[in-house]
Amino acid sequence: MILTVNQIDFKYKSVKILEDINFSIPRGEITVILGPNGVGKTTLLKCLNKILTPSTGRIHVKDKPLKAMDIRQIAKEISYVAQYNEAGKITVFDAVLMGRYPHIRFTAGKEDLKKVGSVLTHLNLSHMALKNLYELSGGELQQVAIARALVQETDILLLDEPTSSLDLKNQTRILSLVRHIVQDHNLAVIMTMHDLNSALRYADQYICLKNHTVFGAGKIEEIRSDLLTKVYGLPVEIIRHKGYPLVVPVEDASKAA
Amino acid sequence: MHFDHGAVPDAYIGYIRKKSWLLFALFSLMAILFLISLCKGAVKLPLSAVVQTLMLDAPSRKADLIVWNIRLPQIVIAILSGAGLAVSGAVMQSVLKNPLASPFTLGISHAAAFGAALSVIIMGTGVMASSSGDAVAISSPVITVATAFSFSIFTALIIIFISGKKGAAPQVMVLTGVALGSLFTAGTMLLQFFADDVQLAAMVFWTFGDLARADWNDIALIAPIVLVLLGFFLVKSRDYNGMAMGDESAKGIGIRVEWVRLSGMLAASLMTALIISFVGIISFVGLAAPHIVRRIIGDDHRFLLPASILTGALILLAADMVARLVMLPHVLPVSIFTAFLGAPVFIYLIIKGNPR
Repeated sequence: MILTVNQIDFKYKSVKILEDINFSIPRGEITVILGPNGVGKTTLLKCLNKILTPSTGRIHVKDKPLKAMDIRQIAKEISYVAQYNEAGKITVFDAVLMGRYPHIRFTAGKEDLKKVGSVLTHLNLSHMALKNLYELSGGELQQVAIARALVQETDILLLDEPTSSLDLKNQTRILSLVRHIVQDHNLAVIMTMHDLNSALRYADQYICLKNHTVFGAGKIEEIRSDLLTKVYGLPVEIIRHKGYPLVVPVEDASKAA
Repeated sequence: MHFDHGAVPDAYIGYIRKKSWLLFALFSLMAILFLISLCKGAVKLPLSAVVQTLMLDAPSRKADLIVWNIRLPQIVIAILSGAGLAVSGAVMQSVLKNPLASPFTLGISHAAAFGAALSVIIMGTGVMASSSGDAVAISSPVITVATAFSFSIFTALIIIFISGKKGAAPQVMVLTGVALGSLFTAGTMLLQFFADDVQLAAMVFWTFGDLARADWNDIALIAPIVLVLLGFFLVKSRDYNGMAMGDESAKGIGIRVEWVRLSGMLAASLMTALIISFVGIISFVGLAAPHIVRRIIGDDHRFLLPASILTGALILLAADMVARLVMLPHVLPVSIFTAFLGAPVFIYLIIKGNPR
């Protein structure tokens, strides 16, 4: 296992956000963290690369304790794509080059620039290399953020709600891209997500949070509708359409509440 | 995961080259203005005489005195102050993610003015020197400078301390600065209310930014600190670029966001406090120069910071020259002209600039 989480708790001003969280993440798979609003999905993700520090518990990255690693060492192992990416007057090429930060001491060398060129080609983004970020659409910005994470050359990639602000076409584009990246580079991807249909279609593993702790986890194809019903507090069924799983609410939320 | 077989797009190399040429053009413009500024004043000197004097081969005693004792210290302090104020403004705006961040917004200028006013009224450093037009003077500039500096750095430390407690959130720093600024303004008004005519005139005189105040001794003190801080900011330019992506993304690539924000604020505050306490309050450069540069050269701090340094120096050099020439033989306060020169350019760029 590339990442293991043991008994972590997280408190914010004495309010418990996460309690007794345990799981492990394998290479070459996409793990999706599911759960209702406010359950602590994003907090959990941010604990995994020390953006937030858990109150108790242990996290190990490739058997090394996360606690003992400084933020730069962590950035060499784990990359992170935030839910919202700020768009300034800086080119796509330079924004992606920022991903080389943990590997650069003073100034970017030719090798770093070449890697950026390579990733942009890999993701078909070369045509926009000199565009400024503020000129890009939400989907393009998200792709640039993923490119930056790739150029960081880490084995673990954290994605916080990667499709939350995207239209349907861009959602499938980004998630297909993530799928290919995992296959091509044997990465471990951990992402939070609200869209259950996308989660069931693109993820390999799931971790369901309820009441600030892990309520269920396992292979995505084994996820059951009664688990989702309990987690979201709304009766749902999982049906298949043209081979794809779809989560369908079978009762209005107002009635369920 | 490795991406080792890429190529750097030619267009990107061209783009970087273009930005470097822009910096070179700004530097050349500054060098030209530097020489013109040495020639112009109550006594006009030919360029050849100025160059000869600079090469320690003055054609006359008069040229030697004018260049080395009067104009050069004023021009050197203009370059240092303009560069320092502009880059400090750029860094404050970047680390606080607030386009309004500047020594004014953060209350540092108000604190310096209060410190100067306090030295005038409590320590009696404001005097009536003669009955001529330039009658009012500061009798002990060292005390006034020291008091102004102490209060401005004290303000910066309070802002940094409070933000440290609250996790260095940008809005906390700016709001604290605004509150402190109001406090010091009220304090200055109180002192002015109880001041006599001479003290009141001395306080107002100090708040005019005036580059002629500084001499070589002052420059020897200011220059090394300003140069070290400029170097510090340039080294940190990649960190500021990372922080522009958002705090969490910056942490994700290994940037110690809180430390970069606090060290940037501390260095920028030290720089502005130092400059303001020696030359008085020079408005506009710290706020506008980085904005002018951002619209022309973009937000990439590898270019934004050196361009801000050069543009700040250029604005202050130009303002100083105009202040010396417009009402010969009188020299007007330079801070009037920094706004007169910069504001129209700034407004033009806001109207014409990119939609952001």
